[in-house]
Amino acid sequence: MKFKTQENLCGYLFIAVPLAILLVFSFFPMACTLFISFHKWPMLGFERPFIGLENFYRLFKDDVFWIALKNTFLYTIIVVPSQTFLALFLAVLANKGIRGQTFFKTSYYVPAVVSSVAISLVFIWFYRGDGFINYLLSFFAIDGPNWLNDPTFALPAIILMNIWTTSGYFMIAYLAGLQSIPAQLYEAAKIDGASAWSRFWRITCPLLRPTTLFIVILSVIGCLQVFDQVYVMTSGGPYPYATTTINYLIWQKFSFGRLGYTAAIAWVLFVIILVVTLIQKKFIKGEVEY
Amino acid sequence: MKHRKILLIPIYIVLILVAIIYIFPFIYSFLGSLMSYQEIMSYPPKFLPSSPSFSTYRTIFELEFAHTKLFPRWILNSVVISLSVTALNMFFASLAGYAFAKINFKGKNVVFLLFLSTLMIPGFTLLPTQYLIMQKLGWIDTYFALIIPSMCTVFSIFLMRQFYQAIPNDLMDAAKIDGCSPFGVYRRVALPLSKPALSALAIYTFMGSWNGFQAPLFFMHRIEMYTLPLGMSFFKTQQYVFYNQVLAGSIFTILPTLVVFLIFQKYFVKGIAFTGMKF
Repeated sequence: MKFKTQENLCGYLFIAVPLAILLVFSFFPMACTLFISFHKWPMLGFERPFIGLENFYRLFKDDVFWIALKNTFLYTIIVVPSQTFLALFLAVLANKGIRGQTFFKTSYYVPAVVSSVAISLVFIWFYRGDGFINYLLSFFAIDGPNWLNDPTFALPAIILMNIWTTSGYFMIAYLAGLQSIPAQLYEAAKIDGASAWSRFWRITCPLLRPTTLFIVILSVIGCLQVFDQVYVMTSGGPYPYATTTINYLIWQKFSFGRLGYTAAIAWVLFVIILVVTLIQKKFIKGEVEY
Repeated sequence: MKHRKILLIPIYIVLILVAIIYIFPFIYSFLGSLMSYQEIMSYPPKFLPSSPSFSTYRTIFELEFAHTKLFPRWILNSVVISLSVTALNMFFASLAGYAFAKINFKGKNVVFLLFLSTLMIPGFTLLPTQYLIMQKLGWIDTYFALIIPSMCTVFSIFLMRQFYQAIPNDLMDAAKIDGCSPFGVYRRVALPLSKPALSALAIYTFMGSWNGFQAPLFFMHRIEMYTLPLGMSFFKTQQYVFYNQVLAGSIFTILPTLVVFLIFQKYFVKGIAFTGMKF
């Protein structure tokens, strides 16, 4: 056999299984979910009439869906900048040639690698009305709320917890970015008399732009899909004030078995994520030259 | 020099304070799992158990449902599923990653774009239909439902491809000239070099699978088929469960990933470097 033919064959063979899995469990479901969303599709029962855009129309008029969407965006808008700034701040400090960098890196990373369900369960304990968090607040003469059962404070409680969980992961990404910046740049700037502050703004920030793009895009995609923590900690309660989009989606499936409606929510959220990601890519340019 | 050292002191203080904030919840919940129920619910909160005991752990391991000890069963489920997913990903992703990086087969770029495009599809969009597929296949409440769809993720393939791309072509060409078949080049040249990438991949996959929640929630309905995280979330909703038991169970869910992370952490950072910021 000629080497070229062998190569072709080998290539197809190597990717055959992943391709099959992808077709069956990703591409087909993706199209199929769209198909289902145009139908009334109860999980039990055999009547599945085509209803066109009715699911989407109902979704548009569904108040709880709008609350869920608003909460999801609120969550994203608060979590993404906070965790990105925190990550950058910690990375810059840890990169100052201090001892025990590994220790700090490890301890900041830990919350990001363990089960989100387990973390949520632990934090339910901290957030109790007479729990640890309120005990801390009492030192500042603040009478803390019963966080997770309070319509105003349930979502902020989850937001705080998630900033804590994910910032460590992004801190390591920033640290890798910082360490790839050539030291000569800083030296040259120093010789030219640039202050520490202007070195940060003129050198560090622009050169970290690809890392920032990576972090912001990834965390926005993640945040728009927030689910585990909400499901475990409050089940989207106190209903409907702290529900999020995915939580609402799952709820429609499990409580009502409305697969068509569930599919419509899924597609709307998918389009939102796609659009938001494209907009970000346009506004934060990833390429840097130096 | 002295001046510089003094400047570093506030930085150390901030870093240490933050480190305490990040580690403390884990230590405290471990201590909590050694307390009695009364102690755990007391106010002001107690920080050290007055008579530490592992009896809570024994209690949750003895919990029975329909003649099955739930907790050991959940651990078994989680172990079987995450180890299978990890092994399968290592095998298939290294093959496919190598193909995409180093084999010039027809239509490679189109297929690769097809693969990458699925990274844009959020998992939840697929779940409603995947559920129907699993039903048709009779895979609801079986390990297949959680193993097969994630046996070779695009993320794994991408990670391996990035790694193989960094290997110089000269190595491969030399082997080809010496008469190696395409498979031989992979088997004898590329695979032996890929230990660090495979380790990173194994750790990521294991953790992702162990911590996974949405898929088990959708596909596992019988309580004895739950994974550990799903079991824990169910555990919490039962009114008669005591909170020290929930803490003990959480510690148990956290422990394996924590240990794996602490042992292999250098590969983690490598993994970030492989997939890289090449967006």
